[in-house]
Amino acid sequence: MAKWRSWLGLAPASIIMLGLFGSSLGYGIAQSLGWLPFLDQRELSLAAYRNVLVGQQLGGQWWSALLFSLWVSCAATFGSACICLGLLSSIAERQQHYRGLSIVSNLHLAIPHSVWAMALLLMLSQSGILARIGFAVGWLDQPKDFPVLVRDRWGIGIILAYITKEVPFLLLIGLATLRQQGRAYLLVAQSLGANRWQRLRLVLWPLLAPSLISGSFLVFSFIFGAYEVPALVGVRYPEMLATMALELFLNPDLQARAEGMAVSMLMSLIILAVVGLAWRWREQR
Amino acid sequence: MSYLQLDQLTKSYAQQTILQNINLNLNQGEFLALLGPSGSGKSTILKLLAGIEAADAGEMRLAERLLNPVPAHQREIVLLFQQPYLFPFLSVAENIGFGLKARKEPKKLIQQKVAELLELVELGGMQQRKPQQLSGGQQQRVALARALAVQPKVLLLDEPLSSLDPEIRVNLQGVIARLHRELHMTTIIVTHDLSEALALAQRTALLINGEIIADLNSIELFERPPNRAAAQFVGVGAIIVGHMQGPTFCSSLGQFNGNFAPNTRHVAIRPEHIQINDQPQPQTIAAQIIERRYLGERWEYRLQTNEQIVVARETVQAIREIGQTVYLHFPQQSIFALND
Repeated sequence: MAKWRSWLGLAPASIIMLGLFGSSLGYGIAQSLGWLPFLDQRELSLAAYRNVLVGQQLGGQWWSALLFSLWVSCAATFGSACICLGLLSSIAERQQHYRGLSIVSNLHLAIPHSVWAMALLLMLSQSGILARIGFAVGWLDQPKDFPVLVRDRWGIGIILAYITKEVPFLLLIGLATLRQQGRAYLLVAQSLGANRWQRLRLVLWPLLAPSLISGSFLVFSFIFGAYEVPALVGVRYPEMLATMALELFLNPDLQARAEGMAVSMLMSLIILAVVGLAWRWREQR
Repeated sequence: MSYLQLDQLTKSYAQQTILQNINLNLNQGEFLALLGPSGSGKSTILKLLAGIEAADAGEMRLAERLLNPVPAHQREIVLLFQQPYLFPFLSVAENIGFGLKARKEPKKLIQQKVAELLELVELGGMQQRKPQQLSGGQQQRVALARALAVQPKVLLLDEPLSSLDPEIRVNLQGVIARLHRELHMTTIIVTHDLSEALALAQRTALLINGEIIADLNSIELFERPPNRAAAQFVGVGAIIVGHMQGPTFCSSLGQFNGNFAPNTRHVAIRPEHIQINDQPQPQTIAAQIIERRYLGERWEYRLQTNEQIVVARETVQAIREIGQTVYLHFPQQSIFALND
């Protein structure tokens, strides 16, 4: 009875969630299977998936976008986690710094990704502020001598934008763990004879690992599926899957919507696989 | 030369003096209790000794070696906190072996030592458990074993039993006392509980407002506290104000002869030494019971005399009623002088 009551309590929220997301998801799946009633096309097939994965026109684009998305997501996630770990390691034994870092991280999180990406573009492009300063002070012969850090084929700009945005997010997760007796554990280790390096390796990192790894899975999933940053600071080739999906969806040829939705569905499957891995990892621990 | 020496130790936080000119000496293998109310600076002394905090002034020496510049992890002084703080990601065995691993001891030696210590703290067979699977008392035993594993030169116990249930607490007091008897480790325990200090330590230093106001044998501190502040902390039946007339201390509660200093202005008596009579007798004064409390083996009475409130305890024979008039006798031999 109590079990039913708890389900009943969750019903209003669940109905709204399922209604909104379920119908959107259902409509998306249907479109990816070729159900395009506005084109009077109601027959379901896997043609769009075939086109995306092995089609002559889109197949190559899909695989390069997939590899590029994986590269950017992995590099940005790994970079963010490493920087976060480094920062937390440097302040872990100085509790008075927790508050300052928390305030800065919260403020930074409030900046939208698109605004941050634009700011990076203005700062790091070859006609940007740093290039002009470099030229003005004589470090560069011309502003265009500034290294290509945004809109580059390696996705450095996208990775930089994501690292600088996701580090504060991971920091807040790590700080929450540290605040719960983190310093006490380090003091115990110190009292037992562990030097600074041992305290980091044997205490701090194992303490932070569960929350940082869980947070990193979230960051990966977000970066893998996000559109605005690669659209602003990325290039047309190689592009990320999110930009490829949206371009197909917005294509004047309405037939391309099925492929756009197929790309989105395949991205969702990959993210679900990552979430499944994260879940399994947590369960094993 | 003492094994552990604290010389003129001073510590302030944000212009508030926590410790002032602390002098303390310990012999090797001695068990000292640092007793005092909350905020008296007891834990700060342990933090300074462990190297978690730095002293503003004064010196600490261990076996003649100056400790002040030595980093915490090289001091060979282990601090056991109020909470066990077992590493949640390690098993019981890994927790106990942590300090040995940090010292890069061989794996075999660590395993052997861990097994020995588990037996010593009566937790044999629990080596693979995670801290979350242990009770509070078991966790504190593991923390104790973890501290003992590195064979510290000095073991510091910062109210390690205060968060435990009374039964587990008494049990762990027994474990700590036994381990000290067997290992002869120089130990300092911080506590605000007089009975804990009496149960564990040979010597007690009483700390009030950052100053050591008494440092003597634990039983002596309980039986005959040397000054008013110590008497108030350990609890006496009455602090009697008076003056010396020749060899006699004269007060409103009676005249007492004893080996008192000529300038004695206060004497005291323990509550259990005050005799309560139903009828007036020579050298008794009348008092009215204003409150009573059952302590298990004794009744404690608060009594109002003409001059002051007196606390007396007697073993349960006949229960006396609130409002009843009784007659108090202060045996000469139980009266002791207090320094001001």
